[in-house]
Amino acid sequence: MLVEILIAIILGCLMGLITGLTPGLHINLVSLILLGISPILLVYTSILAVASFIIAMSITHTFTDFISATYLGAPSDDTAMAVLPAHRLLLQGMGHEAIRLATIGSLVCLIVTVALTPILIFIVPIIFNSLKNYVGWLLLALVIFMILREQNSNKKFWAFGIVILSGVLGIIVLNMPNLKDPLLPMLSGLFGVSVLLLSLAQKVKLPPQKVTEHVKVGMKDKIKSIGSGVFSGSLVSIFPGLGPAQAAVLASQIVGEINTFSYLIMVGGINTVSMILSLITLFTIEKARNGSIIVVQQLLKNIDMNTLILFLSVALIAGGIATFLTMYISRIFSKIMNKVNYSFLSIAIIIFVCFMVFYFSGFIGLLILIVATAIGLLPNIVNVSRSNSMACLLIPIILLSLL
Amino acid sequence: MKETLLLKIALICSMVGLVALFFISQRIELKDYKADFLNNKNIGDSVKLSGKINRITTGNNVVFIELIQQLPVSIVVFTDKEVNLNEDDFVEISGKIQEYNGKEEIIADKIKVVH
Repeated sequence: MLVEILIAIILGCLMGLITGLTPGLHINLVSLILLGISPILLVYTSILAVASFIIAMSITHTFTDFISATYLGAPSDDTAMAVLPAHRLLLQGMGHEAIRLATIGSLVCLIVTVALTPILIFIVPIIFNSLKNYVGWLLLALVIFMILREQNSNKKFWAFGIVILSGVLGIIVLNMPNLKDPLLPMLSGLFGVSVLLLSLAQKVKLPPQKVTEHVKVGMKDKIKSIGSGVFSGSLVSIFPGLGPAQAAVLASQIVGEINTFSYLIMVGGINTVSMILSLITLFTIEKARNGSIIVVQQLLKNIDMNTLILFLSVALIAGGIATFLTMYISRIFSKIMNKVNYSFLSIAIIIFVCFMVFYFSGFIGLLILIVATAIGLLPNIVNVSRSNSMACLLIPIILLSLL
Repeated sequence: MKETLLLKIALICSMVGLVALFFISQRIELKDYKADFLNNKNIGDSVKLSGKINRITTGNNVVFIELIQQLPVSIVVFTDKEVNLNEDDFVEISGKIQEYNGKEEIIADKIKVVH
């Protein structure tokens, strides 16, 4: 069984690399395909090997999806809040540094969360039971805070407008029947294509990408970033409806002013923590919040302590492999970025995103992409925080929780 | 944190994971099962298999189980005790292949509920 699981981990890491680098190809989709063909797979392998493959893939994906978010400006729901600071560093020739910081966040948060598992096993059910009815109010307070933190009344007004527009867009898109992968066109428009269009309009020139290690984050900031990454990643796994992007907004409000570097460490950690915590919630409250872990749940129903320890071991191995893969691929991307014209690359990425959106979501997806891009341009024009656009996910969840 | 340090931590992380995996895999005794074993084995062979219970019927001192494999597998348990099994339980079964009315089935001598 050991050899079988090790092979599953290696294959899972490779698949996680592919899903991380390909915008629109989500681990949930791969996991569901695996679930569909599991009766055939189980003839050749064990159920634990299939589950280990899914976990290794999911963990690796949380590391590698920052590569496409940074270099291609193509965010998923996991990386939406990281794409902007990462892109900012890319425009300073520090794309690899951005990836390095996010990877530090992912790996350290993974280790911390696994180390905290004995405590989390006791704490998670208590937190879940005492706060599960207040998620909607918590997120509503967050949205109000996001608007009020803008500097003057004019900006507050525009922030309110962007929240409403994004929120309405989110409600329409998430309730659209028969729409596959609704988040891809919406988030690509709000945070991806709009940023690339602005770069094109401003004739931004990409400086040479350097593989450097100049960025140093102080120990205090590092602890703050890792702590908030673990905290907000835990919230994602415990509370229904709360995604990594909302948790990133929440955490950035809680920790207050942190610089771009610390922010990337924090956002890097959130997704990885939420994946680990999903395994813990599966064990403690028999609920999984991540799509791929839900597939693991459907394969195994419940997991016992031995299986949890096995899965945490798989996560540790996959996290280590994912770190090597991410740093290696990021170096390759850095070299490629130096050889291509940024304007040409931006146009190519926009066309690629349009193609992916059309492939996954059809003509309706393209329409959503256009509308989301238009809304995504607004924060830059009126000079308010782009995180207000995250209302596209926050407002639907608030309404779902409170109504 | 320099990249070399990051990679060292990643290496240690993987090694710790490997050691933990090695020890914990000794404690999990889930064996592989093959749905096509009936075609490759002979009547009377002892086999071990695992899977999810699709259907369970209780008779007089006998329990009939249909286990989900690529093809459904019939398991028969002769017992005078109450069997605490349910549909959707994931079980590990060891027993012998027998033929009954031209069909092959497993006469179970040990059943363990895994999940």
